[in-house]
Amino acid sequence: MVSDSAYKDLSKPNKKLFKEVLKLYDSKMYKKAFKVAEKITATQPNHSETLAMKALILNTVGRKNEAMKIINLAIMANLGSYTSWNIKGMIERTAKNFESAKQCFSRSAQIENDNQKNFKDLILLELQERDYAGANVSITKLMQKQARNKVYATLYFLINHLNGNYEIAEDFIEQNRDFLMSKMERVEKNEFYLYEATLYRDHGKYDQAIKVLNENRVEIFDKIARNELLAELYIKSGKTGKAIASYEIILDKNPSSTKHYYNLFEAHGIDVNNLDDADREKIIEILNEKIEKHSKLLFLKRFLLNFLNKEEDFRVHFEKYCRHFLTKGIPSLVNDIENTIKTDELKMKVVKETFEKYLESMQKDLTIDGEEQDPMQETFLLFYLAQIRHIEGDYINALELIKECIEQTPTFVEAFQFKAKVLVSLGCSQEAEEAYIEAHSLDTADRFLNAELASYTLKTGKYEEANEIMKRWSLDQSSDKLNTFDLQNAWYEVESGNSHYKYGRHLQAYQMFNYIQKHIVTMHKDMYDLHFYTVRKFNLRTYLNVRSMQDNIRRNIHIKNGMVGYIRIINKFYKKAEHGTDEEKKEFTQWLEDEEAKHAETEPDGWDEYSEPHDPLGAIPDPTGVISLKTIFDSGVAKHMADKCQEFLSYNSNSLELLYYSIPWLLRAKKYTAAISNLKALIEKDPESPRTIYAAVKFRAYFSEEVSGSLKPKQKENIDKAVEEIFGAEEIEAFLIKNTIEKYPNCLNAARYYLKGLQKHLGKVLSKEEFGGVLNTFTQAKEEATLKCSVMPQIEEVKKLISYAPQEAKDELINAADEVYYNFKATLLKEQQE
Amino acid sequence: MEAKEDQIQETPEVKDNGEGEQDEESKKEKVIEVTAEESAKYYDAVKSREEVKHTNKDLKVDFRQLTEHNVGSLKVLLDRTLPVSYRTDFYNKLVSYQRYSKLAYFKDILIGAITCKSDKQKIEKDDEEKHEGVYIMTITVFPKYRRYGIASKLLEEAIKDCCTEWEYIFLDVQENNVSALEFYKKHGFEVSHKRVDYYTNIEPSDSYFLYKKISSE
Repeated sequence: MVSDSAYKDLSKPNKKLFKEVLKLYDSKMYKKAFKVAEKITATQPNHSETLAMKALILNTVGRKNEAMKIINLAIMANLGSYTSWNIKGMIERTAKNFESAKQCFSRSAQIENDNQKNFKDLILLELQERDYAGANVSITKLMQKQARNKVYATLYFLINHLNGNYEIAEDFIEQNRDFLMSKMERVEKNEFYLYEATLYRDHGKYDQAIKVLNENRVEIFDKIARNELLAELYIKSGKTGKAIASYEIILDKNPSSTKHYYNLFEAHGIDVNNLDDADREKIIEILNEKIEKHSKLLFLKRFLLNFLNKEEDFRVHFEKYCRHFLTKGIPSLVNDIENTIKTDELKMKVVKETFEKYLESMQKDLTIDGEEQDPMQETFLLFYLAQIRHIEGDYINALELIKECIEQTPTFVEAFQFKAKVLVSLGCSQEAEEAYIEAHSLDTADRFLNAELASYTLKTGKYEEANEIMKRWSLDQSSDKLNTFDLQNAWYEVESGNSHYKYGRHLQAYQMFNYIQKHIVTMHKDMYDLHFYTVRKFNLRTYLNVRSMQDNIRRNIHIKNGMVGYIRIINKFYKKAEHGTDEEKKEFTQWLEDEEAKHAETEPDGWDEYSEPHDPLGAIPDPTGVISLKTIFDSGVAKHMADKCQEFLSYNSNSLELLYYSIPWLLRAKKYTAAISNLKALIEKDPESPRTIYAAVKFRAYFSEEVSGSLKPKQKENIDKAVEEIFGAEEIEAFLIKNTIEKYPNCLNAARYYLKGLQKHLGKVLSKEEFGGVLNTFTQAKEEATLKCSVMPQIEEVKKLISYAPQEAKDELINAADEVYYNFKATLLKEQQE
Repeated sequence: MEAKEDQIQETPEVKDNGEGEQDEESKKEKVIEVTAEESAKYYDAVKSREEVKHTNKDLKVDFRQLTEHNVGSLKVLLDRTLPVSYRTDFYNKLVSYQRYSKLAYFKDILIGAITCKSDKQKIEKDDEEKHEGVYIMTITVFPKYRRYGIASKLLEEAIKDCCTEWEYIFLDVQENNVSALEFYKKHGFEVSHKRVDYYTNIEPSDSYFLYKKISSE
């Protein structure tokens, strides 16, 4: 930490004092140490190392802000001080600013390049920040000092592997095999060979990898891992016969792995994305063979359904499959096959006919195919059939069927759950919640029911009740309130955030979405302890897996949805801060300041060693998120959001929401090239949607004369080119009309985007009469809805539409919409209320 | 298919609107003299109809204990099948005597239940001392699952569990509930006496008090 050069500039008495500071610091007498250091600075106020020590002491007792200020003074006092850079690194590390810490250690390493401890610290940070090139330099330095250190040696080939220097890693292992494998336990040997094969695989040397696995087959006791790797290598090296044999071994041990079946098909030379009749026959043959072998495995029978495309074959097989579910009473039948039948009209037809046939027969005389059945099969058939109707979008009939099903067997939990789902589809979230409460009351011990109930409760805006339910899973049972952050439950935070958003509680919504962003950071920070640990314990492949999981966390569906929510809520704040009236703007700034003052953190003022509190509530820095919100707005919200969007998109390039929401932020951040490419991606992936059209209109309208005037010629050229590609010669308004209301005359969504585009970006407002015409769509859709509910619009959607109406007509329109909606709901739910 | 009227109407034995125990004094006042002989005569004369035809299908039910987590299901069952609605404290009490109640599940779904409590009753009206036993409060099955012998199974299961500890099992049946009387007669219950105005909220209000010796000694 402190090098000898620290004493260089000190006067004689101060040298003595500096020694004392170090001694006192080591014996944890921080207050005294600080006082002695102050004596030095009284005479030599610009002595860098003493300042650094003061900062270190303050950091240790938890006064982080002061520490940060003083360490910066120390650095300024002597930019070439090893000690000051090293201590700054330590302070940044305790604050978990790994990137800055890394830079500090890197600086100190440049100043004195023979300090092992410094390099060790540095490597850890480089691994944490995925800076493998840097880690490579550092580990080489360490190896020069201490080549016979096993941890260093392991890190050496691992880092070279991660850095893509396969050749070096392979040679190193080859040359140092005896040293590396000396005193190796059985478990470590197993791991080592599997890792070595992975290394060769990543390098593309498949034969070499196969050789490692085959030569050491005795030592590798993890047979499944070995076979999986082998099979993969055989396929990659074109040895399909051997690949098939390996997959057969794996599938014998684990006959319900979809992934391995697809691999096996591939090994048989079948392109699963493009099946011809011969392929299907081959697959059916393979699967039938397996079914014979594992006759009790339902998975295989279901899997086979995917590949049967002749009506009769499918029917015969499905009837058998279905009968099994009926006799056993398994509720998941339709859920399990939903993906298979949803997109396949023929299969859908057969499934529906089978259910209807059985139901008719059960209702007549309690038999199926002439055999008497237990009466519950009728209940299940109603349940299955209701689900089919729901998939078809026929919600009204689905509701009728499920009501009948519940009438027969009123303790059938899944039926209530499904009823809630149908009611949500019908836009009746209140009633859905009631149905779900009934389901829950039947079995209050079920985890899934509890969690789902929480989600339904949120849909009606009762977040306190939802928190009460979720409290069961909280680690922190002492507090009255649920600590959502501590729960680390992304789906719940998303649902909760969306609920707050919907009911206008914007700060709470922001808090929830901000928690998810924080979780990502926390997970990344937690990884810090893992690098050396896994190397020491020799869990090399696990390390690689955890690392890749960590890197891909943003692909997780809930984390991604959390990001969408995050953007939407920042949009709301942005609207207030940038486009609001002067009063609104002032109010927003004032609100941020007030909230910040309310939640400002206080630092400890004692002299005891400080560690992060274990109390989970205390561990949330900035619990309400206001401080971070203020920072975002103070330091340039557009750039922050544009970067975040692009970061998430790099993991979720297919997410339509992220593409759509990213464009305005990229424009505001003046990242025009990225905005154009995202808009083009959106158009390519979702060309028919009115939302895409709206995004294009918004993009074009953004470049007003004023904005265009400030563009560089190259930028202007690119934008003009993009506009021409998307709009052709069409005028913006004509383009909007043609692709929204003209194209989808009965679609509320199209009408909404049309009005939004017209009003917000083209500066036009429809008159009351014109607007009434658009609103007719709603009434018309509603009339159709009584026949088939798939077009049933939700009242929230209608109200959103009305928000674009001229001010004087709004109330009238809302009343009219409410009336249509509640009349409809009353007819729909009449029976239920009786 | 058998005609509908042949189904056992496993109508429940309802007692005092959910209040588990009744005030002794008020009970005494209500009992009006109807001789044991008269009752026995009526019970014997309960029309012994043809043996009720069950279907051939045997529903393999499993029995579970009542817990605070499944009491909601029981409530739905009683609400849907019985003419009265019980108060919450009735269910709370049931959970506390959970050991005497049996829930019948078929394919993991509740279809019937018997609820009992330990009690003391005079078997004969003139008995000097009360006998300890198990009192059946309700026994019921969803209409869809009747004619499969579920109620019999429930009764047998309750007896099996109680016979090691208790001497008697008893209950009251509403006077006009012929099929229930028949059901208990078939299971070896004997009539003790008639209790006039036993029920407070339903008509007819008289009940027959039935009992069966179950102790295995």
